[in-house]
Amino acid sequence: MIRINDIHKSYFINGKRTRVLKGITTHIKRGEKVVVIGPSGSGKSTFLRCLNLLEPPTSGQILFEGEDITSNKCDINKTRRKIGMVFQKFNLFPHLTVKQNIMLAPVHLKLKSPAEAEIEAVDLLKKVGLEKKINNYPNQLSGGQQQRIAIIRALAVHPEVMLFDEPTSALDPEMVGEVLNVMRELASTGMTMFVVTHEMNFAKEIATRILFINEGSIIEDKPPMEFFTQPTHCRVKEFLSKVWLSSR
Amino acid sequence: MKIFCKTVVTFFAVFTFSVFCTVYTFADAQSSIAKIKSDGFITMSTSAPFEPFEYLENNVLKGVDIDIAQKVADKLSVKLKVNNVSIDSLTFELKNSFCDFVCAGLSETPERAKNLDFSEPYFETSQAIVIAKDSAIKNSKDLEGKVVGVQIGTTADIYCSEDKNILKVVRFDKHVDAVQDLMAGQIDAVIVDDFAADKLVNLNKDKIHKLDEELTSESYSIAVKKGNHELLSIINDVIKEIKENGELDKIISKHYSINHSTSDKFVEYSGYIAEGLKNTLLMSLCAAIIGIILGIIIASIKVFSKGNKKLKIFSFLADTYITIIRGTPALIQLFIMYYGILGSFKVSNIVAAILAFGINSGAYVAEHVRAGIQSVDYGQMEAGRSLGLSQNTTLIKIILPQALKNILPSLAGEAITLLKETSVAGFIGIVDLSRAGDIIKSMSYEALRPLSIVAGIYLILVVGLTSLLKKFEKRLNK
Repeated sequence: MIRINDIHKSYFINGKRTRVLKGITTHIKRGEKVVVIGPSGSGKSTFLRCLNLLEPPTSGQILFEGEDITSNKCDINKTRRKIGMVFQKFNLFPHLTVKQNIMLAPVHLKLKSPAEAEIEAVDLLKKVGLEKKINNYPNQLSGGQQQRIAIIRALAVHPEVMLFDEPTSALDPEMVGEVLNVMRELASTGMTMFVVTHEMNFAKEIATRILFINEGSIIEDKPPMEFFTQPTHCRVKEFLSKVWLSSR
Repeated sequence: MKIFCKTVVTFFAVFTFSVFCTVYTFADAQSSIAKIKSDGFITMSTSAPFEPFEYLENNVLKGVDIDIAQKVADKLSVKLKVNNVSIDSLTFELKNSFCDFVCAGLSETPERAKNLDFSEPYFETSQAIVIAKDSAIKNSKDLEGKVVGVQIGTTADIYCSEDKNILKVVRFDKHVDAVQDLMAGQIDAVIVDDFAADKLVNLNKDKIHKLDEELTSESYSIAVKKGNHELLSIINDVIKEIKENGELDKIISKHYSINHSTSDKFVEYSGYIAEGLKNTLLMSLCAAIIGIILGIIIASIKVFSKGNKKLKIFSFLADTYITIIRGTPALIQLFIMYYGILGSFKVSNIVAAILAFGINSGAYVAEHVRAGIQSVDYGQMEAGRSLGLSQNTTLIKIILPQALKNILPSLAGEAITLLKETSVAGFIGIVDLSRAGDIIKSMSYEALRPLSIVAGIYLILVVGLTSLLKKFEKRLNK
């Protein structure tokens, strides 16, 4: 579904080049749930943001269903409709109600009439148990509620793949569960998912494959059982031992 | 290098623009009697108030000059159109064919004769010296070493400027202002047209008086564009005719004898205020709309062309626009718009003012909006784009509504500035609120009361606008 061929990403800060991604190649198949793990600053988020070109890679190719989305010929706005994204900080539109947040893109992109979009918005809200908040503004909701709405806002344009950029990192611990539940349910529908997270148990539970990124390269690419029980790379072993310690 | 590029581009812009204007001026040079007849009207420019030659009565221009101009129009069997402009714009109006002739109590001077052709005189007058009751000045010789006030651009101004014995000439916009200063002891004498002198003395009998000496004798003529002999000879015929059949004397004595102080001043003055208020509000409102639209566009260009090489030229243009507009006075921009850019198109002065103020305001709004856009979290843009919305859609639907809410207080400040800025519109002959106060000042020979009333109205408008915007802001914050 998404083929990533040797992508590199560099930033220039005060004329000094920082290499964030140093040649990443992988293939995300339809229906897969890929979880990306790695220390902070390793380039996980940058990698995820390259997939819908919020960060255009410095070099390399990204093929979505065979089409090179990094080329100028590609209409990135059309491709982005097929790639939903959930942010660490929710990024709901504060000046719009929950309903308007969900309906904005489908109505504006003429995927649905306002009436149809509203029916679907109510449906989606019911699925995440927030139908009572339909006319509230984002700042009247808790973080967990906001993130659930951010997820269904992305789903309202019917994407084929969903990207999650540390979706629970900005939440109070007691709200993490409700967001993960929504993601679990989404996984069970067969959605292709690409998740950057620090929730090891969740990764273990839903992932079909785990990528470990360190200093801009994938150093481990294994199914979860194997990844957690027999990691090959010493950096991964070190990371896992620290993470498990802290979570016990 | 960057500054060099800017200079070159600005130079070319100005150059192209001047060529453009010149071409238009030449294209216009064919105006003649035939043109006037085919248009069905003839245009005369004057500068009111200058009693009894031109003055406003119940918002209608009347006076000796208006009646003579009507005779000229009658002679050609066309209608008469009258432009009322400031006295220093009269030559410009003729040179650029804004009007066919000027009838404004003008005397022929060598300076004016360079650009204009003058008719036979239709009126003989003199300049008088007005002094304070207790002054030691007895005749024009006593003016030596004294400070003298005149109205700018008048023959009194020219006379005094040439008289080397006078210590200092103070030039006032209106002769009423000169008399105010005379009574306050700021200046020693005022030289003013004889008729105005009588009027001014009559109103302040206890403080000032007029000397009997006639300082200069001068005559008033009608002016046409240099070389327009065809029209000039017709005008000369008319003057000769009305002189001979006695009509001219009738016209003059009719206007001399009218005592305006007996007419209903209050109704007349409030008519000016109403007219001024209407124009001020109209200009402010339209200019504000243009300013906001322009400001948003310019700010968007500035924010989104950053780091994009293809859009560099737009960003450069936006920067140049903001630099030029914020770096020059609004009054000069207004003049350039009316006399320069739109000068050849015969656009009405109110349209020119709306455009000038709108473009002026746009530069300030742009800087506010830019700050507003930058105050919105970048994640909002990313969220919009990740849903497949285009950059423009995201900007309009998501970023701008939040940005505008953040900058509403500074936009309110800009609206207030704009409202007050329109007070310079009087310089291109628009009767706005300030100009209305100015006209009433000239007509009533009194300064404090009309100006305080005008100031009061501005204050009410600003306070009203502020509270309106506060309410709006509260509603947005709900």
